[in-house]
Amino acid sequence: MKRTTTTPTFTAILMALYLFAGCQNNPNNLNPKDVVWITNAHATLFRVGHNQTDSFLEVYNDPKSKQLLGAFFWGKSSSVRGYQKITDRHRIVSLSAIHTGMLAELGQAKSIVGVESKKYIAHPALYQSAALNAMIELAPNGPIIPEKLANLAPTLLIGYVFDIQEKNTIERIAKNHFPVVWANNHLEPHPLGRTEWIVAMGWLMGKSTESNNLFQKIAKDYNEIAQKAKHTPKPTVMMNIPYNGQWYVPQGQSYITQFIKDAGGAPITLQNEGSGSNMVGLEKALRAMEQANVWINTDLCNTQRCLSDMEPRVENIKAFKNHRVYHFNKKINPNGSNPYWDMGCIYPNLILRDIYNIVHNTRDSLYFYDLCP
Amino acid sequence: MQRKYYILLATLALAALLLIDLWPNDLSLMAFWGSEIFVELRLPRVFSAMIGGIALGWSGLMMQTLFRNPLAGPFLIGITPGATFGVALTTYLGSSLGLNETLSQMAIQPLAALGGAFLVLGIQLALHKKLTQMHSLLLVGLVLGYFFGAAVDIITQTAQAQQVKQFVMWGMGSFDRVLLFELIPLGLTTLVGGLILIYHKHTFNTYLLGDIHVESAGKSAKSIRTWLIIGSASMAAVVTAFCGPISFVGLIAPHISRKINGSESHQKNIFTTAITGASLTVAADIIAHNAIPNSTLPVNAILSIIGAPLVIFMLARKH
Repeated sequence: MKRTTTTPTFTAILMALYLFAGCQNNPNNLNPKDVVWITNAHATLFRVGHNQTDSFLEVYNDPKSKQLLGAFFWGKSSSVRGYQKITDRHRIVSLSAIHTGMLAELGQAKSIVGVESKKYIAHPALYQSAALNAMIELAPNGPIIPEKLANLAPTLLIGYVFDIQEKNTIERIAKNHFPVVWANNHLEPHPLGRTEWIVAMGWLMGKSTESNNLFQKIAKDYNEIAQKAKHTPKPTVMMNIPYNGQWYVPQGQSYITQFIKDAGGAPITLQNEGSGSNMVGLEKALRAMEQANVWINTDLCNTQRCLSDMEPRVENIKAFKNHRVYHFNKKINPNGSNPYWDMGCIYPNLILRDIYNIVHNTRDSLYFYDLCP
Repeated sequence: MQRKYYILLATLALAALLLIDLWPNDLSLMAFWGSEIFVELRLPRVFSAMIGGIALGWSGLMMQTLFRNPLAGPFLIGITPGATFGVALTTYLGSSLGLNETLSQMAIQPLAALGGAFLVLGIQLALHKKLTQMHSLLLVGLVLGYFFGAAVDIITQTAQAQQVKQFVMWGMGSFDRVLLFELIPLGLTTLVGGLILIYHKHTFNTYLLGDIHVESAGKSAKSIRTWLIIGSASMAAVVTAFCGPISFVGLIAPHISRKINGSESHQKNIFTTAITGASLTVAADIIAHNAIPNSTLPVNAILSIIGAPLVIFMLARKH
């Protein structure tokens, strides 16, 4: 008899808890009044808004699900339902080299007390700087070390979701101690979408005007190059290198293919839809790429010899025969970090200009790229 | 006609399908046969899949004879983990040693895999003379497997993202990467392994009955074990070196063969194990390349997906 009465009660409690937990992530539950949300030019995974008293930031999971990952505010109100207040920006942990670079661009490098790993930070403003030396590495060789993060006692953590387990660990440590902003700018398909996250970084640091101006300047330069490339011939461009008989061929809406399209090239893809890549066997890949005019992004290979050592059959590719193969390691640092990845994400106009010059064979000097001899 | 000949025909049909039928739409058949794609990519892929399947089937047969255990395979004596360790080590140390520009990391991967596999083979050969119990040899194999697995975990944990990617791609197994000239070491090792199997087939049958039967026939059980270790480990090592770790074939090809023949006899199983192994790898390769348009699936995953239900089905039927 006892069993029959406790079971429904227990089930009801569980359901109530479940509903309560479900409501926490529901954007409809957030209710700041009269907020004017600013429309982003390209970014899809964050939005910034203001009302008369406060300023708001919402960040989302990925372009498909658009699930709310976090909602933040700063301003006169002491609390806003569903939003976490940003109060102190003096001890920041920044897990992504790109976000770290963005903060440095906004003159906030000194506020960063911890990073995931220093070996990926290549931004010229940070590489071998005193500010970088002062930062603590939280995950020098693998996942975040929880004790290190807890001991560091940051006031704000800016991260990216890569591993759900690590996300949970960080959130457990952060609970009731400091806000965590998940900035998934690496999932933005358009290069300017990734760059536009500097606006979100500016919002977090109270530097909105500076960050907006910087983004506008970069976007203007990018769009001018894209405009110039619109009515040019479209040489075919192939990307990446084979690994053990497999080739990751980017899909038609991916980050790198967007650069090539904007630079006036015709990217060789196997699938127009999708922002990821197709893993294909060598035969399928080489069949598609045999007649490519240009080959870019040769990963760690800086010479044609390296490519043919790795896979001799690439010698049949037209771009290889015509010596139009380019790597992106021109600015690589002695420790192996490459500003192409962090600085290039902040300044995609530099990458676009390089690809434009490569695709149209202008012989102008290149910034990140170089010809594979 | 015997069932094994049906399998042979099926294998040949699959290979023919791969060589003839699945050609690019934009080329005529004759043009495709004369193209660089066919000669430099399709031929080595098909032949490496066939030779790899034969080698792994025979390796599994010898391994199962060695341990008198139907669950034995190249993983069990640590060959695959040893090869994996060799590749992980060179992938990680490659850039520190300047291998990127001088000799590509991927070009030395087969050598690294062979090095790792033969290191394990050496340890096993040295130990098997001291260890009289077969389960001790088995235990050493498992322990070596765990040891090298742990070493690989540590290496990948400290490696850079691109090195990890390179290593993961190797671990998926692929016949696409095999070059025409690499078929020579692959084929020669398989031939030597096959000759060991053919030459000792009667002794291996006796060995299955127990050491005492081998000794009473005037032969040394230790020497038989040495031949079994050398033959099976070399074939598994070479296939792993050139194609990456290819799972399940070594385990299930001898099983299917015994089922077809209804006998444990090596005379009967050498041929059918070979064609079963080749059928499995060629079929997996065809599925891997054609199951999803514009993508290639990992051969290893396909083999496991085919292999796991097959083993369960066979075990269930047995009981």
